[in-house]
Amino acid sequence: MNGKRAGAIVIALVLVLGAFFVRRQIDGSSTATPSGRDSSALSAVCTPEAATACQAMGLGGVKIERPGDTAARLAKAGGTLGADLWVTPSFWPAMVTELARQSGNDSPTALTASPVIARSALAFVTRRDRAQALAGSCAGVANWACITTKAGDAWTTLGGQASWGTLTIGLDNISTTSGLMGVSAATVAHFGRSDLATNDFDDDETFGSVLTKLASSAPTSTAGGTTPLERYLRIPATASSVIEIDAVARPAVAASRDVASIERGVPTTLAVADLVIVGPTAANINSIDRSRWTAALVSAGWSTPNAADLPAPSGLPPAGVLVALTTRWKQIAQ
Amino acid sequence: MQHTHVTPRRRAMGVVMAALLIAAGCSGGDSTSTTVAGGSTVDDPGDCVPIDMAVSPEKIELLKDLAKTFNGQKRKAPSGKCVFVRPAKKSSGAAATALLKGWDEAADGPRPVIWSPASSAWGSVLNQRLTQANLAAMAPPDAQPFMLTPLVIAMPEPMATALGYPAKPVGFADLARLAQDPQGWAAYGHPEWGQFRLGKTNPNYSTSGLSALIAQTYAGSGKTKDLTLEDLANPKVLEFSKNIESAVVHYGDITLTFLNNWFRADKRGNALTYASAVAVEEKSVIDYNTGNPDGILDPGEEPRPPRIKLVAIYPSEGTLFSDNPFFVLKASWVTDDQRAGAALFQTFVQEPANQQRVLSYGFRPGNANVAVTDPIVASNGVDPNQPQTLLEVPKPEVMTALLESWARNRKSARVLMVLDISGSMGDPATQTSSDTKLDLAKTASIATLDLFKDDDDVGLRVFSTLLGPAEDKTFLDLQPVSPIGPRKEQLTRSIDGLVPTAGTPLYDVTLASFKDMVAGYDPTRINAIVLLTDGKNEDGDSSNDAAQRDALLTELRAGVSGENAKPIRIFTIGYGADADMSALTQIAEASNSAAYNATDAASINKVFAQVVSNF
Repeated sequence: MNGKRAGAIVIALVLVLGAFFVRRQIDGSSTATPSGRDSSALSAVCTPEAATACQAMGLGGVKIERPGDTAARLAKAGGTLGADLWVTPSFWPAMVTELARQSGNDSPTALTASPVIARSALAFVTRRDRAQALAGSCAGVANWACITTKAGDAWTTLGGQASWGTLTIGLDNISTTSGLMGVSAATVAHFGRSDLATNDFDDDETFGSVLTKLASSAPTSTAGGTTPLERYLRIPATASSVIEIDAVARPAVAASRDVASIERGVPTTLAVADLVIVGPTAANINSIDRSRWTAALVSAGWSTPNAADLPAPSGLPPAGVLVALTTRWKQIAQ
Repeated sequence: MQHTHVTPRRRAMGVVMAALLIAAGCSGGDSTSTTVAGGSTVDDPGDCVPIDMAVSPEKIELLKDLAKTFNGQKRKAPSGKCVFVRPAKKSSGAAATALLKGWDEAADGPRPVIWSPASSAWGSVLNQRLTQANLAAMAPPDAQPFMLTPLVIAMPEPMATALGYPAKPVGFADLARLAQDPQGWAAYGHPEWGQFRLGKTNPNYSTSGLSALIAQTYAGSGKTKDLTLEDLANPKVLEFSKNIESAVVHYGDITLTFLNNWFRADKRGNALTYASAVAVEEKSVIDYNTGNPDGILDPGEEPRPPRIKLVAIYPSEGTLFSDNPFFVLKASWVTDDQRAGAALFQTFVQEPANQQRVLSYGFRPGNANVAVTDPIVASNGVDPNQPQTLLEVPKPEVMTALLESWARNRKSARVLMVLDISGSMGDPATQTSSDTKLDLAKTASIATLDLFKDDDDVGLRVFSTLLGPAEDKTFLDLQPVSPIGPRKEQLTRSIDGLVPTAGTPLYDVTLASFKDMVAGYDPTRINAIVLLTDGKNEDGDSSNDAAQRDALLTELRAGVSGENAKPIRIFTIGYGADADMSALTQIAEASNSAAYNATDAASINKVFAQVVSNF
């Protein structure tokens, strides 16, 4: 080996080692938490509507799971999260205790929750022509009360065209955030308040028909995608409309080929998902960089915790009522 | 050979077996080519992870192209190995049947990791059959669509205009009314168009036929989802469907038969009296209007648009999509690495640049972010903003009942089977077979008797030279054209007793049969001849063959033209290597029917079943 070649090898080694050093600095700055913990050491179970942000956080492992399934698992005796963190709307962890009590489990996994890291309201997506017709039949304001009571009605009775068929509303499974929030929004709209108790359901004989109408208006086919919104955007005629979290609906509609003909709105009374991070170990929750999570979520379509257009109350009933509502919906939708 | 009485259950089994036979043998969905047993891929994946695909024929070329690009990129599976995708053509029904049976690699080709039938309805059918067999479902219910095309009612533009379309929505209810109107098109100021005539494929074999049946039944029920067994039994729904079926020209296994016949009729200037409407996929309307009715341009062929364009009518009651899903199968032979590799390919085909390519085939992109543009434009007779309402595929048990109901209530047929018993039919069917061609033809034709319903009129005529006591006849009527129900045993015995004789007076007997069928024409039925021959016209005088053929074709063409025509469809079967397919194709086309190729004599069972799918 001559001296020139040896020098080149030394320089190359220096460059490689230098590159490793710089990479480590970059990685360290992007994943270290304020307390110095490396987020790549943490794993998380994430609700599907936060999947994009979760995958951008450089975690050690990410599992995407319907929050209703996570909650059901945690509520069982000996049920575990199977990860360090659970990124989810706050009402799901709250339901774990209620679900556990329902199943006779007095000591479900204790969870520590972060403050709210992002928020998103429940949105209603439909074609502009249908939105206009619906607004017309709802005295100008298509709120949840009007939308859900018109579910299943022929469009001809709503000022629409015969070829539109009936007002079908794509609503996801009750184990998903948008599914449960959609049913909840219909319930709150029917009663006119969110501070409900389960006996309100029994005291109102007309309530059952509201849910039945909503359930029977929902398309049952799952061909074309994993969520009603995916299916709707791929094949618009799969439903007249779709209920989805705005954090999911906004970017999806904006990227859609049909953006010009689709209207996305946030009907009142607002129903808001407050995203939190919970986990069985308080130290993990306390160590997370919330501002970094919020930034990732905002870039994925969520709003900041203090977004001016989203007032503080979530507009959802208490966790026990949500559990009862879930049970009732499953009976109806079967 | 002994034959026992066929019970309804056995008959139903026969229908199912025939359906499976056709599904296994003929093209899936509405494709145009036959299945290649064992698939068509010979590419060597080397050390890469092989991802075998079974895809419906209409998209095989596109997927092969995409796979080639993908394979060149050497994308890595989790194991670090490159991923290699191998698409193979397999019709939707055939693949479903093969999967149900565990997929025999020797017969069906490599076991697929990804299955992409024409419609996700096939996934439901497979899962239902697996469940019935106490096996786990294999097709995930939420597969992504690769590309889309809706079922439409294709109608010549002047007819659509006469109905007021598109300003006035048109649906199956309008077609049912028109079908029942004794005035026919005269009610719309066009007596020269005659009666309303509908083309619709057999729902047991064709995706668009099945979609049309579902759509018309929903239309009759007034629903768009949750069709029930009670709905099927509702007299109003039954009546509605019968009214639609009454207008059917004939059925069949592929829509291509209608489109090709329509295209030829258009060239002759009588497209409006061949058919008033045909249930097809939107893509077929684009192909037709761009002058390429079969969707395939042969070498040297240039597309030449028709004189009268078709308009895609999106039924006002709603319609269904062929969504071409990618099912990554939940099968024991699929490894984690293959599953991950399949996901990579799925992501690849959904990339916008690749989704743009489905447009050039007349399909809509499955990726919601890729715009629906040319050729899905108004100038091609289609509307990218339609359909407005989608129908849901009924539950599997309802689907089964729907098909059974259709089998009972479809339009009845009046068919004369004309079989060649010339001397050459006594030759061995294949080089290795001890059976003669006539032996196999007898078995096949006896098997197809079960595909008719009891009130179908079926007769049997055999032809050769030197027939009859005086050996001066060219054909003999062994069974009259009358209801088959009580006579199946007699027909079976008649066929079973056939023996090879002498020459092949093909043109003479075809013309005579045609005239006889015209004389007894029944406008409430599908009137047809099934003509099987293994040779060419050989009546002892070859000097006038050309003149005989021309006279026959002239007579046939005249018979199907005009508003008062009494169309007799002649479905021809060229049997064995010496069959004159050219003459048989001309005869079939002159009567607006289809010629079937059974030059491989061993395929006669499958071909006979395909022919009878027209009824």
